[in-house]
Amino acid sequence: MTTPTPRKKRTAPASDIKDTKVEKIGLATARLHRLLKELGHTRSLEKSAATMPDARDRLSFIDKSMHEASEKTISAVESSMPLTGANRALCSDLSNRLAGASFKENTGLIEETISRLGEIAAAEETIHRNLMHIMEAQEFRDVAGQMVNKIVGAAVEIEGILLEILKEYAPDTKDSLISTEGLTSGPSTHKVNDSVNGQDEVDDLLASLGL
Amino acid sequence: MADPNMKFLVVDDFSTMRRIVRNLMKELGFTNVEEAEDGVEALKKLRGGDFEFVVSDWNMPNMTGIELLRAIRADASLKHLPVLMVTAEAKKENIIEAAQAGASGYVVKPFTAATLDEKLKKIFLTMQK
Repeated sequence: MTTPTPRKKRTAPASDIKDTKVEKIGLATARLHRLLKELGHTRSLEKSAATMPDARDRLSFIDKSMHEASEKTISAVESSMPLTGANRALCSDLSNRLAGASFKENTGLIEETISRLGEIAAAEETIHRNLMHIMEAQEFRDVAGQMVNKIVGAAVEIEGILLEILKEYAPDTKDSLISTEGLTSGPSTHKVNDSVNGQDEVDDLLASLGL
Repeated sequence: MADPNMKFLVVDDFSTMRRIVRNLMKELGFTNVEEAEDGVEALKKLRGGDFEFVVSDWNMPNMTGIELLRAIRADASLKHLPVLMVTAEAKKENIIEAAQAGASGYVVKPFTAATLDEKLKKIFLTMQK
């Protein structure tokens, strides 16, 4: 290790100190300039901040829809899988018994039945494999869900930053925004007032309109 | 061949993933499968039950898969448990970190029943040695 360099503050010549002050004034001026510029943009900032809760809602809706679709798919696959196994067992049992039995008539039909049972069993095997693929494909839910969550997180952060700026430079706009949209609520689950939920609400709304 | 009654714990924060892994395990002949949604719940279950195998995701709230793995390896009563990481974290540093922490295997999502089968068999072989 080299000998520690003496701290600049103590040894700096007068001109350096002056430079620091000039630099500070420069920074403050730049900041002021930026603030003034931002003041002119508060309307668009306000708009941007206001779109964030909606973006969060939409992403949450996508996440929920993906989840429900996957769960439904897996439930359907789960209830179908045992059937394929049972059908295969049934086919093989029947064809074994038919092959072992002796028939005086319709031997052609019996032979054909045994052969068809084999085909059905093979098809069941394919269906089983396909069901497995359908199940494996539901994995998209995991990675896609994580991505959506990350974007929701980013939206919350951006919203926070925008609201911070608004709070500082356009104090009268932030109260209404914060109170109506909820600044810290995370992914929003509140029901949107300007849309309906379910057929009952549709019917109620239609009735209130005299229809 | 591994005991079909072997008791597994599947740890993942996404319920869909837990269902998928459970179904794949069933396809491979293992039906004694329980679930936990994060490392904290997993540790609690592991300490309370006679589990023989852990299949864990990496990225989970409360306690991640790698933290769970370290906790298992640091616990005298659990450290012998095989832990298979099944995760979307495909970075080399993640895989190295898991290996150094004592993971028994590492499967990157998306995976199939065949991949899971292959990794499980490999771990069973090592267990027998």
